[in-house]
Amino acid sequence: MSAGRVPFSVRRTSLIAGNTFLEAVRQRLFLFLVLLAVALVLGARFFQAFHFGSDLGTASLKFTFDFGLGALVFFGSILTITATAQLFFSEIENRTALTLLAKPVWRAEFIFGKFLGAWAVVGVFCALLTGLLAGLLWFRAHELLSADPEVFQHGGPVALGDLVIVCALHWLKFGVLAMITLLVASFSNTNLFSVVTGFFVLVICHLQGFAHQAYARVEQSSVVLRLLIGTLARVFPDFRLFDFAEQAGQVGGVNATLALRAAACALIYIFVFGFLAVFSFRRREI
Amino acid sequence: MKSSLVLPRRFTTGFVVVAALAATGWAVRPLADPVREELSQGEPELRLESLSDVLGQGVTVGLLGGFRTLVADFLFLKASLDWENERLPATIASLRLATTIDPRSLFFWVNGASMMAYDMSNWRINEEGGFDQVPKARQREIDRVQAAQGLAFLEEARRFHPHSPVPYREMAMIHWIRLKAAAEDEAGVRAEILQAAELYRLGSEQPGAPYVYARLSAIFLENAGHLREAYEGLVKQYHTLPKAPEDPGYARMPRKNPPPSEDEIAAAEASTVLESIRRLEKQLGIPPEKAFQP
Repeated sequence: MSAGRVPFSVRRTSLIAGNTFLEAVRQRLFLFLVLLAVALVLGARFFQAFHFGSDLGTASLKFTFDFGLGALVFFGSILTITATAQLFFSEIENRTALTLLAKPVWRAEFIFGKFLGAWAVVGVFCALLTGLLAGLLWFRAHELLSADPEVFQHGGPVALGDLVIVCALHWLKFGVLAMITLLVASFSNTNLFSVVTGFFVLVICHLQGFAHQAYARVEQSSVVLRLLIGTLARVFPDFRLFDFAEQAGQVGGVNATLALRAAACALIYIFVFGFLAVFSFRRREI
Repeated sequence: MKSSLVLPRRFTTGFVVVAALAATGWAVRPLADPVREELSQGEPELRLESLSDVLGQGVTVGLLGGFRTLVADFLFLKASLDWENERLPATIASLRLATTIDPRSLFFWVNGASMMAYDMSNWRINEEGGFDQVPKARQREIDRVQAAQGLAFLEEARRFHPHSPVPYREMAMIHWIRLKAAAEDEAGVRAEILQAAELYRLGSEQPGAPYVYARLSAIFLENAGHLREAYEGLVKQYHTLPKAPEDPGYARMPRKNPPPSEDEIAAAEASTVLESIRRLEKQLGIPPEKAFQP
């Protein structure tokens, strides 16, 4: 145990998280990605020219919603992986981790502090884009309503509550992704390796649906094959669980019970990946 | 000595990580499976077999970034470009990919089916020497093959839009325009017209279907010589049509809240339907005392 007999401290963890957060928001990468994402969300109206069938009120808003959410997911994923890996390795490369861990600080505090700091940065990013998207949808809905009061007779715009739930679930997904990146960083030697592996894992987690489809198709008699594909389908989290965008804007909106289940899954994964990262980091020589 | 110790340690770390993750994956099943099941019902599923061969890096990034709609739109633009240049395999590939990525857009399905059923058969005939050179029988064969491709495409659209009247309308039109012309004999022509009538009838039963669908179904039935079915279909429809107070049968009209708008009443064309009923009564020889009483 890195901290001798000192008990685990939430305060020390939050101090590490606070410093990580400050370090992250000062980075140019964060500002650059925020600006790009904001520009893309605001530019959703101009991209609408490429969309087929967007002349209808609901379709137009759905396109804006999809597009804005696309910006959040795309740049959010980049920010999560690169910022988490960079924040971890900056401590290792600058040797500040050595100084820090020489003091009575648990490696678990270090890992969870880094995670919370990075996750908070991604949280700010998500909150900013969610607010912007909500404003844009509200503005567009009013614009369409003033042009035609019956524009939403076949379906209303996306509810604000649904938008918040959808974005919050993506934030939780980014939490899982950040912890996976930390797990990779805990045993890898370079920042680049962690970032590249993080992106590979992101792709795998998004395509987990295919693994589940393949698992469902394997014959019952092929025990070994079922075990192999079943394990593959279970080792990586399925990121489709956190994508409720299709439910938003539909009659009935987002199913809150299912959203809570998905949130619980995310939190379980964050803790499991977190403990594995600590386990791996404790075996590492710095 | 050092390396022989490091390797097993890394191996055991890796093994513990994989085992713990697999165990977690199995443990969260009761939580995750209902979510996965519900989401896959509402969301058009990306199909393994249709994506595995054609998924490029750019598309992957687009999908993962959530820009599904935009990627599909650009793929449809590419399909339109291929269509303009009469590149048959490329057009089909782009259409399939666009509808795989975003099956929610009926626009893709309808236009894609039209390209397959109407345009592609013309391309193929031109490729084989042109309308003057290719024998009529061969032309009809190509028309039938391409129409079948368009119909299959629309059948797939119905999987994603089970309550939309639009795929039914498009399928009916393929039977009415393309397959009727490609039929070998009179019986074949009649069969195609009856198919078109049936598809318009099915389309008219979908929520929000235009009132004209049921009327078109009756017209096609009449064309195929099925006067009695056409008459019964129109009588059945007349009761449900929104009417103005001065129209016959207004009192028996099912009441709706809110009441039908003037535009809706005009679109229903109850008076035209009644005229058709009277005309069919004459053709069928129905005596006035047994005639339809609205």
